[in-house]
Amino acid sequence: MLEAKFQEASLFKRIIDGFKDCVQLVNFQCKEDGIIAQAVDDSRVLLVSLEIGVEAFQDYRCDHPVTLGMDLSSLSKILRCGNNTDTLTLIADDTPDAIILLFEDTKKDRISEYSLKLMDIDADFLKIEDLQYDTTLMMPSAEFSKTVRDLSQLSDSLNILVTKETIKFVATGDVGSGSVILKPFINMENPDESIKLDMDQPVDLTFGSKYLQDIVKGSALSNKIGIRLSSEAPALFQFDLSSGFLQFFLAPKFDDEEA
Amino acid sequence: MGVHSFWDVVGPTARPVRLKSLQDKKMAVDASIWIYQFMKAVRDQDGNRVSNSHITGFFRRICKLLYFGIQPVFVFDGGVPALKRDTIKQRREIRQGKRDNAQKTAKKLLALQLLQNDKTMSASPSPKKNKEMSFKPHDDWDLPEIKGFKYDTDDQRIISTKEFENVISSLDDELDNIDLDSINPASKEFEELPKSTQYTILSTLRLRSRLRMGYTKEQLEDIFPNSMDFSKFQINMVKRRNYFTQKLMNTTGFHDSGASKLNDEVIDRISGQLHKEYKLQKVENGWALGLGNMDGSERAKAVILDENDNDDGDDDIKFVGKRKISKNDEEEDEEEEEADFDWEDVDLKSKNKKQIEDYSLKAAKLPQLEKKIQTVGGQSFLDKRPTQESPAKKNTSSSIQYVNVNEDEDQGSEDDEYLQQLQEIEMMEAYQRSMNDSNKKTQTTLTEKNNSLEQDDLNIEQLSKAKANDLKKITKKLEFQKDVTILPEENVMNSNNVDVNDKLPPKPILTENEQNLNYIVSKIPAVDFSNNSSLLFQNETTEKKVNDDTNMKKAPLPETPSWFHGNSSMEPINPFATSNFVEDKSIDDITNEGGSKDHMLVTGPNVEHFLKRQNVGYAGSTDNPVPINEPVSDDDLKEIVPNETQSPDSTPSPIMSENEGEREERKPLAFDYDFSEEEEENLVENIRREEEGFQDFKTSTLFNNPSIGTSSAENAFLEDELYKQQVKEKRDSDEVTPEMIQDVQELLSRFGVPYITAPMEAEAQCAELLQLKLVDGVVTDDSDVFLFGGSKIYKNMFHEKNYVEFYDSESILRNLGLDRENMIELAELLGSDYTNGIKGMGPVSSLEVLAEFGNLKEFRNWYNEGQFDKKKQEGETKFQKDLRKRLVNNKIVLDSNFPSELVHDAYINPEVDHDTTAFKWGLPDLDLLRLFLKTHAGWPQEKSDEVLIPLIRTINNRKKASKQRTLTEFFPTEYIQEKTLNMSKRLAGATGKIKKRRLK
Repeated sequence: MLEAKFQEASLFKRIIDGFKDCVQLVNFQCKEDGIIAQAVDDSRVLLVSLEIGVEAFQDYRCDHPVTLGMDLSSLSKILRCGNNTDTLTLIADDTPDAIILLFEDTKKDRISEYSLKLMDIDADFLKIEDLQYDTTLMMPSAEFSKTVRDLSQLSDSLNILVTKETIKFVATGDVGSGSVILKPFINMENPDESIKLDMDQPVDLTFGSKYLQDIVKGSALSNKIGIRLSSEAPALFQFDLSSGFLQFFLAPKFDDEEA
Repeated sequence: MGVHSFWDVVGPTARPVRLKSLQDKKMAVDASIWIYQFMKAVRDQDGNRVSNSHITGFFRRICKLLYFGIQPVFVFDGGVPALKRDTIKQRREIRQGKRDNAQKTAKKLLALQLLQNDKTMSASPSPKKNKEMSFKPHDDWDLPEIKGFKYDTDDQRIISTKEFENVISSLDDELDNIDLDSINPASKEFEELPKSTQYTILSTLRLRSRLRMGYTKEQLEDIFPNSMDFSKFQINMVKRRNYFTQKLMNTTGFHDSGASKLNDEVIDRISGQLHKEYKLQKVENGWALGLGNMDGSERAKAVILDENDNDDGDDDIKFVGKRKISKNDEEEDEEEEEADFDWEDVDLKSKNKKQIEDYSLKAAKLPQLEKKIQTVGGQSFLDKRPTQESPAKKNTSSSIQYVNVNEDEDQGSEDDEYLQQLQEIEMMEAYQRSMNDSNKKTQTTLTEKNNSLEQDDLNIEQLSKAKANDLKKITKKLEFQKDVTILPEENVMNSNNVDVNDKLPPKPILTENEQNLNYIVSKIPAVDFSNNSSLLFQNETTEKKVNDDTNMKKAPLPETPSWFHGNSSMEPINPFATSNFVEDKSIDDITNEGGSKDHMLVTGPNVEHFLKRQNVGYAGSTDNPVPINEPVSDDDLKEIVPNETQSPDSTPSPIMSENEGEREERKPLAFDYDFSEEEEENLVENIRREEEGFQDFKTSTLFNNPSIGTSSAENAFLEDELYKQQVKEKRDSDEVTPEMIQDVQELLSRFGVPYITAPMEAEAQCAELLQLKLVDGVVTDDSDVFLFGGSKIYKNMFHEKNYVEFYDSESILRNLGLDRENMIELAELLGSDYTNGIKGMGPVSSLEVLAEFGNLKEFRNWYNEGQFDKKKQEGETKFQKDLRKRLVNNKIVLDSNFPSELVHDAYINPEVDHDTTAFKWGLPDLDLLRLFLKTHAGWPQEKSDEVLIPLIRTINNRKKASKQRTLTEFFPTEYIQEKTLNMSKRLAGATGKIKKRRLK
């Protein structure tokens, strides 16, 4: 039996909206310590990993681990039916055919209940080991989001260059090129606005703009985005929740076409 | 195709894969089925094949593959394994049966309509007579003969046309003759065909004429860059359609079917023109319709066709010329045979008379149905020509006749002076030349004489022809043969005619020598059709040029151009008969599904040809015919181009590796594709046909007893049914030709896509390519590929925009517990290309058998032992009992050959090419592709560019861009869980058992 209650339906909604555009079918694995989900987009370039810890819920109870395969587009349709301030409870029995989504208005006595049929999703599971990263970057998610969106207009690939003191985003396309240079700084008044850079080795990586654009949709979850880059591994983009996180692993592009 | 319902078995393991993720993957594409699919799927509204469907279809698919960055290797079938041959044989028999059926259906259709025809016929006579009566006061004249004249002309014309077409087709395109024959009314066959078939052909023709004659919009645009030309072309098409419709109506009896009616119509529709009177007159040899007082009986009363005096002169001359020819014929004939031929063309008339009589007799007596049908058919066949004529044409025909009258008078003297004139030809021509520059009147007279001289020359030819005609009359029974024999002479005639045409416009430049030369050239046995046609083109193109100048002149002569139409269809002897050939040919080509474009192209110009010929005549004096050459070359080009493009076909594309070249030498095999779906369809259809068979029986009995009759409503319903069936049968009886495969391979080479022809089965070769790691996946819809050891199968590649179904043998093994051996055993139960399977075994029960017994040997042993040992039967489980019952009910015998080692071996060791040379891919060659699409699909460059340019741009961009890596390069993959597939309980149970068995 699963009963997971969000204090605000909007949280779950934002989580789902954060990655529903890049993957469609997702298995949510509900365990005692929270809900995790992993999904790879069809081109196997972008991996989404979600973890919602127990603390993120108002109430959480899961007697037996259950796997809830859901179609995100259907799920988000249902989520749109609830008000942001409603509480949302996910209910499923131990061998569920469907999940029940219960919206309760906190002010009025309005209760709406939806059920969503579950799916058997045949999904690969990628083992994510702790990876070594050359560079860790923390910056405001809005800043990153704007940079990605701006530069994506110029090219379908975005180059991220991190040197000792600068973070440089470059896009070179048919119509022209653009670059954004950021430097780390600390905003004492508003720490979320700070840009922190922790660099072991300079990196120069190219990513598909399209995937980055998918990633920045998670910006609604958190004010900050953590970016970890390595020339040897997929880049990690992480949005932290109050408990848990939404991670995107993105495989870089080859730069060495001739090789 | 493949193992029956095998896709149902493996269906649950399918995974959608985004096409984009297939970028840079090398894919073996099993293309053998494609052509077949396109042929089956792409149909016009009549159910006929669209001739270039395979090219456009392949084009689209290749573009899609390339767009997604897939590197395809196309694999074609090379041969048929012995095991498969039997199956194919059976299938072909089925198909053959269908084709016969299609003809039967057509016959039925006709029979139905003739039945109706009879009814209307009996009702029709009285109104006809009335019409005759109304016209009698004008003059005393004989309707039947007029009819006859028309029919005969028609006959002859068609014959010559067919000959012409045959030669042409043998010369440049023998394309698709195989298939078309059944559907297509090449006129020769048309005549030979039973009337019922003729009917079908007619209806098809008619519908077709509505369909822009199978041209695509782009093709039309290409042909008629000038919208004016197009509208002319359309007008011609309307006329043509009208012709078909009337013909059809005659056949079906909607119209008044009586032959006499045609004549009535002619009379009826002689529409008055301002200041003109028509008069029917008796002339020496028959009847002629003339213009009022100006009947041309005397010089003084010369007919003024137009106010343009000098043009007029030409006009008259031309008419005269024609008339004269025919008249000469007649005279000769009369002398020799003393047959009284009332009309111009002796041969024609005699035939007509007889046929008409026959017809009337039979019709009156209402003999047995079969006969009646035949006669009616024949009659309608004859009828069509006259009915075809639109009022306008009739109008013109009247003018012809008038001219003839006029000619008769003139001719009298001319004939007398025939020899003299011959001698004077040269003098006259010289005189004419000198006079050309001088005043117009003299010029006209001179040209007149000149022309008549020319015609005299022609007359010589005519004589021979007339003799041939006489022969014809004698051997009426062997009409077709005769016609054929006559052809050469006709052809000579035609070439002469062309000659005349050229000369008709007074050409100051033309020297005597040139004229003689022309004449000689034209005398060269007319088998030289190209010569003829090119002359025609010249004329036509000149006319085009001239057209603008002469627009003004053209206006006052509305009837003359149409006269040429009418004339061309009615009078085979006239100087413009050649144009007939061209026109006919083009019509035929249009009806030919495979009709090559170049010929169709001619049609358009032809129309103009007719319309403008007259103008040329007038303008000739002022316009120099020299500038013709450019347009002519244009036309020539169109004819030549296909040949050119075909030549690269034979040479392997440079992209191919050497061994591919080797492989290419294998002749791709075309005929053996079939679908399990189709077979299922056939089953359904068979059942349906059984039902319909009953109806057929009903109708056939009806035909045998016409007196009973059917209500028309019933008939209509039946017709509908029959028609649908016909369409379907037509579809199923088409076959893939090697030419189609060649076309496709050429297209591939122009795309820079490698292709190979497998030694045997394409899907086996695909599996082999995968095992050799030459490709990363296989695109096929043929489930055999699993049995050949294939994996990573992409099915329905072209069904959805962004996704493709992915099957992989690993996941089949994991989820269904089926390995290759199991799958082959399944095939032996379900049936495949190599084996018929076991009756009554579906996918689920087959899996259950495998689950129960592990393998087929066990199964066989169980079955056979149980059959002879009652005790064993008692100990069986419920499943086994049920299974045994079912098998026994289906009279299954499992001998020691089951499971067949042959089948097993055929799947395990298919004949494939083990060459490991890697494939290379080139870039699409834009220019070559444009050319190819233009010649083969009729696409104008814009249309090709629409697709190709973005495609090539995408390909280039992709080359520049860095390649996307995937996560799987970094993370090891694990399946999150054993997927519980969407399977029925029985299926799940069976696969569960199989899996368990495997674990042991």
